[in-house]
Amino acid sequence: MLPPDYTLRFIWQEKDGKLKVVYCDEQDVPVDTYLGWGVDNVYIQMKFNEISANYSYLDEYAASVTVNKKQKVQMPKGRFLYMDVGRWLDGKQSFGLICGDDAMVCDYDLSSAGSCKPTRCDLINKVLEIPGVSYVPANYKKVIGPNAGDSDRLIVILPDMHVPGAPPLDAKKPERPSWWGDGDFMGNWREDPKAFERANQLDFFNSRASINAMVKFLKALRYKVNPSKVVLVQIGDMYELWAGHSLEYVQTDVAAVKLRSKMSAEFVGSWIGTIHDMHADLFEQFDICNQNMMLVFLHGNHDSYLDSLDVVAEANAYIEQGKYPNGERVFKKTTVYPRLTSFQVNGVYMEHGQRVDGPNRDGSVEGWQRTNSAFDSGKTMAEIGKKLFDTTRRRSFVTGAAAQWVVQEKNFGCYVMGHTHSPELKYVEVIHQRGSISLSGGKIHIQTSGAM
Amino acid sequence: MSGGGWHTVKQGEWLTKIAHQYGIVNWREKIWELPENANLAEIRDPHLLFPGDRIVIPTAETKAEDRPTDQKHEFVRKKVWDDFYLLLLDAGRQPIANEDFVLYAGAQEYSGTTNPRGEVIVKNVDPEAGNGSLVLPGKGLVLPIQMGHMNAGHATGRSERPHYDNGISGIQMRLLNLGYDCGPADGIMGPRTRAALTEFQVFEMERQPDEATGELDDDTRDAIVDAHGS
Repeated sequence: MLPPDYTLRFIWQEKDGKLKVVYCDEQDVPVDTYLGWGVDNVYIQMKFNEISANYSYLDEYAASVTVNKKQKVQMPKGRFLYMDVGRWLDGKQSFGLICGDDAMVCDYDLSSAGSCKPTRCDLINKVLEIPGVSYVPANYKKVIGPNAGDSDRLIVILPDMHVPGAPPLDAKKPERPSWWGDGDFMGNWREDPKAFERANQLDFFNSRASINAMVKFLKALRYKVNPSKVVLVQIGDMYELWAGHSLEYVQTDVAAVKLRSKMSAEFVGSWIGTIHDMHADLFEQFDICNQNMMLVFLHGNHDSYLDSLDVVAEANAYIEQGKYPNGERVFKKTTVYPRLTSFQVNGVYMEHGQRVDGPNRDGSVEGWQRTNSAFDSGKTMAEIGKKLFDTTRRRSFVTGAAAQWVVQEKNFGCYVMGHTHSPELKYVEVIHQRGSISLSGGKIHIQTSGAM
Repeated sequence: MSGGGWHTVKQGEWLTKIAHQYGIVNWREKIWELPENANLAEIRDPHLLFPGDRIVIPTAETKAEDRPTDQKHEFVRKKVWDDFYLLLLDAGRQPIANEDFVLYAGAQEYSGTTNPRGEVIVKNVDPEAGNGSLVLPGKGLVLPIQMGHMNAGHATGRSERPHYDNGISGIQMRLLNLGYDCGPADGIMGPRTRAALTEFQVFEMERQPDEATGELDDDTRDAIVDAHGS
């Protein structure tokens, strides 16, 4: 419950330049529910409630002044850089680069020349020399804060890939394919004539071209940049483990995956093993990179099972066993790596970004409960998907990043996420203003707004 | 009151305060315009000195007044009064206008209301004013004030002077006042200062990422001093 003398206010700047405001004056209930999904607001409110008591809105400092001169004092404005690394699927490839205080979201398109202006950063320039890599000026910015990245290390952040364990849907046969499991992810195919249409619209069923592009990109990256200088981060949702699959975990009150049954790890492991078998050329590249580069894998919502080490072990066992069924070699040996939920290098904080999203299924109450409520409320996947991929929902992700920034007491200058499949790089400003003063605290307005 | 000679400026001193210590009222003519201080006057503002600056102070003139004995006599020491200006902006860069304030400066206390432009204006500040705070009760703002601590932002001068830091401390003080967190104003060009300079270059000077170097070049120094107002 918020103390009565605190008011929280969130402001976002929409793409049309207009400011949208949400006041959270009442416990758990925003006065203005413009944001659409109350769960987002509740989440933010909970987090701010936790930190509001000990967050100082003005850093400890004294204004040095003199006499007989004009001078100015303006209240501090917190800032951090918000990076969404986009997606690597359906023929569209983007990724993030951070070195020192330089941050960039690049595109990778093998059909384009990809020439672009070099930067002051040699390690970034090496990547820009890879054919097909380019960036637009708006996607090159400075990381805020003294502990930006390591100027001697290049962080390469790969986005969502949703590598499927199934072939593309056949438009000529709009019926439930034989490999499709009993999951309700895409609705009931027998009763809902739109189910196929919705499934076919999902970008992650047609990703072979992008997988080929990743193979080429990783080869070129190793060739161009000293691998020992590279931290390669995959931001989550590398695997597509929802579509066509049953749900193999249950609601818990901890932020970790709890599998549905003793057999679940084996089930999920077999799905992952199948994906590795289908796209062994891709996973071989990661294994080669792992020899010299620092590799970090995060889990997303579509592959959150990998938060469970049992699943990782079963997946590797499945691949290992698949190597010699009946004495014949079938699977190439590739590795399934354990996943982290978040990762931080100096002032660069990375997570998949699904925490503030409804359909996140990360196994925790915050995630699974929201997912349940989304389904139970009768909303179809199409409606959820529309929200998920609607760029106007960006505001909830920006707010989530701002909440994380405040919760972590400003210890990062760059927030990196994936999840939305919409590459973006912009500054977020967080303003704390105290409306009135008293010994017990006072009224605090917290504004967040996307600035640039 | 002292007999003159060289005075080495300490943190928190400005010329009228120094003149007051030596009992000099007409500080401009008696101190600042002395030929011995011409070099310093050329590179400094008398209200924005730098710790370590050295100033020639003339011997105070003595004045005799004949008064009868066995009576009480009141003598009033002449003072030079200063003015204090401070523009207050909120985090959204809007003026904090029409707000009651109290300025505590050492043993002195001044009250008033910010004008519509958000300015705190106090006339006749005592030269003995010291550190304190500016309080705006209506805004819940308690801003610690270090009176006279603002260093020169353009610190051309001889590098052998004590505390010489090429004006970095003055720039740090201005960055802090402008809301850019560069850490303590220690005169050291460390990572926090560079990061604050980079942020200033991006957001105030609108430099492109390649040009936002975090270095204290002349343009950046000028822009910071201009943004601060002095």
